[in-house]
Amino acid sequence: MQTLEKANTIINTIKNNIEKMGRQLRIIEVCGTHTVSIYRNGFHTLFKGYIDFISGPGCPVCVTHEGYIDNLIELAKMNYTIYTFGDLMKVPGKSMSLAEAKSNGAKIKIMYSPVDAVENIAEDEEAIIAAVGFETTVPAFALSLEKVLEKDLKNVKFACELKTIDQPLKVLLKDHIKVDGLILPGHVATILGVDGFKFVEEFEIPSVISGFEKYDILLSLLSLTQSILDNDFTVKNEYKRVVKKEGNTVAKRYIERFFERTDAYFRGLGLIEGGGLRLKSEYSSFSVQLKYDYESFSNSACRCADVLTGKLKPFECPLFEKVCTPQTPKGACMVSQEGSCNAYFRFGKWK
Amino acid sequence: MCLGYPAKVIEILEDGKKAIVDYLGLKKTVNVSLIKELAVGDYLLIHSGVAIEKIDEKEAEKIEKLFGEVRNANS
Ligand code: SF4
Repeated sequence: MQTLEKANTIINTIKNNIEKMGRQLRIIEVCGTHTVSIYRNGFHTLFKGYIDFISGPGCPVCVTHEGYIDNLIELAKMNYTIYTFGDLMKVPGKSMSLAEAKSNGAKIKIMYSPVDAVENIAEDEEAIIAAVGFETTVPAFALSLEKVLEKDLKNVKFACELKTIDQPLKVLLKDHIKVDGLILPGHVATILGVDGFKFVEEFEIPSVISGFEKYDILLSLLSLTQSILDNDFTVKNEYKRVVKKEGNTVAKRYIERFFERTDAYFRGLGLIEGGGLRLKSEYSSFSVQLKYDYESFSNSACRCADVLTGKLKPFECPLFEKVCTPQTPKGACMVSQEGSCNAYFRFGKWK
Repeated sequence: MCLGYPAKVIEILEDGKKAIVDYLGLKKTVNVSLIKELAVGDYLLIHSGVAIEKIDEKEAEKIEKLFGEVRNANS
């Protein structure tokens, strides 16, 4: 009961703050795990008319393009075993997904941790690790490469499709979207620290680093509406129990030791300068060369690109719920548990 | 894919690079190379089999007190 009262006080304060502004706020949650938390907890209905939540490009599966999937399938055909996170299995490539390729006999294995995967790869297996993720996951790939070096494994390579969060956010805020505030990804911030998001202040948009529980989201919205009222652009940290000012310095050193910036293609945002990470040249023998044909990526009627840039709500996509469901996804935003189309499908009470 | 979960350190394995943690009663071995000054009883945030940060118990308690909830109340 006490909990409910406290939560209600916070909810009312958030609403009062917004009423003082006299308009509905557009708030973007960069990370897909926030999207899920917002919809699962019904905050989109609770704050209806007060906050329009927009899902950003912070779900690594959703921003992965079909060209990468096609590359992995090609490699599997060349008799490599592909190790991938399960989330990637249903993402449609140009002709099929990894799951379909697997059922056609391709050697594709699901890993839970790249570090464990490397420990268990057999000596006679030519393995390729599908390295997908933002800075939260990059250290795990760095640790797995370290293990490869320690064990002097010659049969393990990495297909890097790693993304950085700063460059796409800059592109999004500069060219694509107008928002009143940002909910910043707590787990990327765990690695990069509050300092890693200082660049957001230049855009003069209030922002807050948030955890993922319902009370985290409420406290973050409280902080964010206060910042908006005060025209305060400093990055706030409402995930202090995990996120430090400087982040995880050991993890950052690991990233720097093995990886360097490269351009990367983001579904919805296109090719972004410095938006990705690749292995440094001294480790290039552990890297698989991927071949991209960017022109052919924007296939089908899937509107993920518009969803990821806040132009369209998932239910406005003509395929949503009709042909596109989590069982029959037509785009990555429906595949991933953290994708906005998927979250709307499961929890969206938008009608 | 970016999900993380909190877990409590039960045992630090010899080389200090691994630890056995308890997550909702399940025992798992995770990589702890990224964590400085780890002790048994610490809470960690685990992602992809790797501990990415220690959870500050005092800060966590503050929030729990504020809401009168426990950490896994997200039903
Ligand atoms: S509903 Fe399906 S087809 Fe439409 S944008 Fe979302 S993932 Fe793409």
